[in-house]
Amino acid sequence: MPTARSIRSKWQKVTDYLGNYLFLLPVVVFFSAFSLYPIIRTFHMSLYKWDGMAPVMEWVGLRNFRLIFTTDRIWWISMWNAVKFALLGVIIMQSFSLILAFMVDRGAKAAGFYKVVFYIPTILSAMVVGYIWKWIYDPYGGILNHLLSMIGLPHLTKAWLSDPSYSLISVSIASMWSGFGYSFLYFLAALKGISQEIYEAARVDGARSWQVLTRITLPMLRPVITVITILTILGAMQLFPLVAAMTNGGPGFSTQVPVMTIYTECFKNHNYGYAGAMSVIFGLILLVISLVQIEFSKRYTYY
Amino acid sequence: MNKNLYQIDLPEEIPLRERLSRISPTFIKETFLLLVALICLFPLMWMISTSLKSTSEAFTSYSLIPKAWKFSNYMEAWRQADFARYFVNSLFYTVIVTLSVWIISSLGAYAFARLEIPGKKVIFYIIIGSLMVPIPGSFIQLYLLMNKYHLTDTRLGYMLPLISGGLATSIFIMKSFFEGIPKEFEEAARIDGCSKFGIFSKIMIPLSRPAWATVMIFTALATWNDYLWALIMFSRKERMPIQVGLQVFQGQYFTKYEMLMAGTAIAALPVILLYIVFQRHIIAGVMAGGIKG
Repeated sequence: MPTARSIRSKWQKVTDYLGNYLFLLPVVVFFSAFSLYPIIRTFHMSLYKWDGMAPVMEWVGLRNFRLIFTTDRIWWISMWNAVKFALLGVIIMQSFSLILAFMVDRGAKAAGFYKVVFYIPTILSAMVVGYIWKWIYDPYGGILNHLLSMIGLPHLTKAWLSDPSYSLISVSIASMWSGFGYSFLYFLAALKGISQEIYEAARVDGARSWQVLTRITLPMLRPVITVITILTILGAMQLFPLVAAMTNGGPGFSTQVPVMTIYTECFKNHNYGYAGAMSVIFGLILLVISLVQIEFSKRYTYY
Repeated sequence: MNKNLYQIDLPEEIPLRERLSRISPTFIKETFLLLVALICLFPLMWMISTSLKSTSEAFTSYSLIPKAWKFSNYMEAWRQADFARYFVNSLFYTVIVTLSVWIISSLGAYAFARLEIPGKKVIFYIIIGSLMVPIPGSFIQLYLLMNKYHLTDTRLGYMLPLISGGLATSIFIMKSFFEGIPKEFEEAARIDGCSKFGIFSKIMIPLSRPAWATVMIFTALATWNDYLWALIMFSRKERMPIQVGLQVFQGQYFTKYEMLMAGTAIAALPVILLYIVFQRHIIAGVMAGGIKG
């Protein structure tokens, strides 16, 4: 027979837990309803055919996936464009911001000023960035062509956004402009985190400065480089508002990106299940990229 | 006489290569950094400059200083394009979403950091894990969900997912901050008979001001700048936020860029003001890691 006291203390423990749960309740409710549910539902929807109107969704198994893999040219064009955006971001923007971080870390005159200024483009919305750059690139009144002719390179002037060979790189430059401040600050923080003693020890051992760079600094930075690479790839592949503001996917499909294709498939063509299957494929690809990156970085971390 | 003196100091016969090598690396570095800073600022200056020109001047003059200073562009954008409404809408959404994220995420973060809850680790990893696996198309399901409960085209339906979307990062930041606060504070309060909520609101919240200031700033930026979800949610103009409202200046065949730039400047202004006021906080927040602004 449990005594009254032990029952009471058990009861108290239960109410205690319930009280604790109240703190967590709003998070759980919000997160399940508006973050978790849509994700799970996307997987579910990808197995159906539905036009958004019919009272019943038609079960089609993996047919949506088969169609995407075998016949959907536009989807794969947009995926390929996303890969290009990601590669440009990883190669150009990352090395650029790493070099800038090195420069500022080695003592620049106005380090504080650069930190503030380089981050300004990052706080602006994609629409603001997109419209400003669209205007800069404009073939009739745009400043870029004017500057090029002014410095004696008139043969380089172009219709930047309406020439399919240059539209993607032009959008990518705007995107890098608005994003490098973030990786710059992140790299700078990592460089500041490397202890001065390691550098001094290396110098005592007679290491040259390029040896310090390749043997100490870069390997120490590897985890940060991995994080920035993942974030850059994820960001570049999910580009949508910027493209919507600048080219809307055109000319042709030269800047069409996956999120845009999903959006069109769903809200213009009303293929909800099909768009769901695209989302699933896309999400899984992004996941694999992250995992590969993390694994890759683990394998080559020596300290 | 003077000329000769100079010649002694710097003979002209120095070969080019040597003269180049005399340009110090520091000079090159500083020039390069200044150039990058200029590239960061110039598009914004160009936006302001264009927004103050007339249509014909915008397309014919490349001067950074406008000839006529047409401040009336701003008045026109504000009135004619119903910009006042968009602006107020955005302001409303930003304030509500930011406050909600602050309250909900700090409650949750406190629970994750300090309270005894069976299964909280699992919940925490699911929430953080959602940051790692973005399903970019899940906005479709969100839209269908809102549609089902007749929340499309409503302010509430727009804000609920934005609040939810801000939670994961905010909880992450707040939780690690709470964990750094010594437990003695809470124990002392408990002995004095303070309730759990009392400890949270009277001790933890005041102590964690730097953390929630970061959370609030970044949530505000993200909410003000949201475009995709607003595009999906709203078909009626009355409730659209400013990022979608900017489209009104985009002509089908011809864009009046001085008007578009005036609108863009209005849309960017609050964010730039926020940045000027909180720049130290924002930079420190990014450098502490884990925040994508």
